[in-house]
Amino acid sequence: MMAGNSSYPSQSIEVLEFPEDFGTLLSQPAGLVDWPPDQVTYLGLYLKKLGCKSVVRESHYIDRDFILDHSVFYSRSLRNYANHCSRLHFFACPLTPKQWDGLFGPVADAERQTIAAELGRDYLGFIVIKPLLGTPIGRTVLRTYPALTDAGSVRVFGGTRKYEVHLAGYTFTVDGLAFQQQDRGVSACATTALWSSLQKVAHDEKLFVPTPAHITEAASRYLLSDGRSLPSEGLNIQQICEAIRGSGLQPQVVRSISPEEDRAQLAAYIGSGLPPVLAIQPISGGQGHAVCAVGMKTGDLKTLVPPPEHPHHIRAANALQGLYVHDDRLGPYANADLFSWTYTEGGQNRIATALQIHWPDRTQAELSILKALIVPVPDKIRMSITRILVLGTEFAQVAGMYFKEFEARAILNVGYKRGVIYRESAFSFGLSEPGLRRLCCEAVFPRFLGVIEVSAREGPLFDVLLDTTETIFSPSVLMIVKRGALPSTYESSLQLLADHYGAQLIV
Amino acid sequence: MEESNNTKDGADTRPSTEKKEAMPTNEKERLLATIEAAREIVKPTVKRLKESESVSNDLLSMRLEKPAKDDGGEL
Repeated sequence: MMAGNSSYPSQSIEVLEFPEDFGTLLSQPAGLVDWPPDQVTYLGLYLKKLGCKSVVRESHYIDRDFILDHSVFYSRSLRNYANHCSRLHFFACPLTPKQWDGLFGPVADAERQTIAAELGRDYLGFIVIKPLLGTPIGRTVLRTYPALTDAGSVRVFGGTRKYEVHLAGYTFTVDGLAFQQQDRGVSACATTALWSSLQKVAHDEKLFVPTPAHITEAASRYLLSDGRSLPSEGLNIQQICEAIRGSGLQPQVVRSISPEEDRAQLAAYIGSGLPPVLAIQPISGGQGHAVCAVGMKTGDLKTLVPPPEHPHHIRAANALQGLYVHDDRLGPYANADLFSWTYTEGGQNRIATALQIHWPDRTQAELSILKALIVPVPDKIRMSITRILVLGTEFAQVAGMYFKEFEARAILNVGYKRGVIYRESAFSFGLSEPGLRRLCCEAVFPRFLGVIEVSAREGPLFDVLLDTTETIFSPSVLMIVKRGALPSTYESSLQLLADHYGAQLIV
Repeated sequence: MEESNNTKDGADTRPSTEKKEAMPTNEKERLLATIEAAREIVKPTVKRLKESESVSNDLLSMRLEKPAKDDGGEL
């Protein structure tokens, strides 16, 4: 009679110094010649950049995403794939096994909490190691790069969220966005890019966050352009839309038009906490690819001048220099420079948005053309960023023409903001008491506002608030809110603007 | 009788946020003319922006399946 192994597992926790060669933390599978995978090398470089000093390894970790993917796909393989993973935690401080043991010794609670808080400050995140040959990198949440680059550019990671991590009775937190490597079993690049995006959007909307296998199945439930769904050979954009709908959200597809328009869309969606999936086409040819845009890098607005098409204002998004993308062939927060690329199509010169994705040590890069953004948006948002931008362009142009002090230097910024968050921020606008009361106590807002912010170098001039549950921007202007940098002599002009668009004025 | 915010001496007692200060007619006309002029100037930009919403079937059918290790390229 064959006895099954029905005993409960146990685990061990090991404390290690961060190795020079990150690949040594993983064991090379027998028979696999091409080792380590690019993602392992990339993660080693990235963690080095974050200043990682020590590693804590949990030998037995049940990962929700992997165990569900295991039940759908790997449990039916001939090979005996384990249903558990291991997990590596990273710290920016030196940690010895003796110090670790001290966390469980006879110390007072207050002292234990102090030690845990210090360790928490140095916590850089974790990597789940899946028991798969050649594709070991599972759910990975690491801290982002700092807010400023060495050259003084500003980094904004709008696509991240807080993750709570439990390790041996201690709780740590990390702000980031989950990444994982495509395994070519339940997921290809499009699946993992969308999975990362949904880690933010579905979580924020309190929806079930699908696993890669769920995404691939939802994408091919009604639409299978060719071949089988599992193992996954990739998705087309229509299937990505289907998977987004399957997760309770709505897909917003934005065609790439020109570098200026694309920058505006990217900045608005990322800045609004809706990380877009980018459909890109390598210039060298071959298959299309998908990455998830998590953050952006912006330069100095002062160096920008208004373009001839709208000579009285600039878009804040024009300062966008690059993106930070989750590229499943590399790793999280890969640096992607943005620039214009001229090519010939049908005998005509066209200008496209190009992305150059770099390794952290900048030794290798690949050039691609942006084709489209696919953004999972909450069901309640019916007004696209395009439509908010259209109205914003009008308002910013009027401001740059009419307000003499700010002539030809109005700055336009658009995005979505939750009504509750906008109200909270309004306390710092310097509004009058009745104005603040009307905005906070009397106005009824939708869950998501479309916000057009018109500003100058001195600061914000006014905000235009739109009802995003409407499909078009007119007549959906709820309010115009005066901001601090606009002289009060212009209040009557703002009132006229508000009347013109059927909105209330708050001053 | 219609409700009024004016006192007997004619002063407007509404909160400042509700007051509509009189704007000189010429200034009002200048602002309305600016709105019209601004709309005209940004028309090409608006047209280009709206193009981003027209998504062709070719684009929707674009397959995104680049494998982790590509035979042809280095990354």
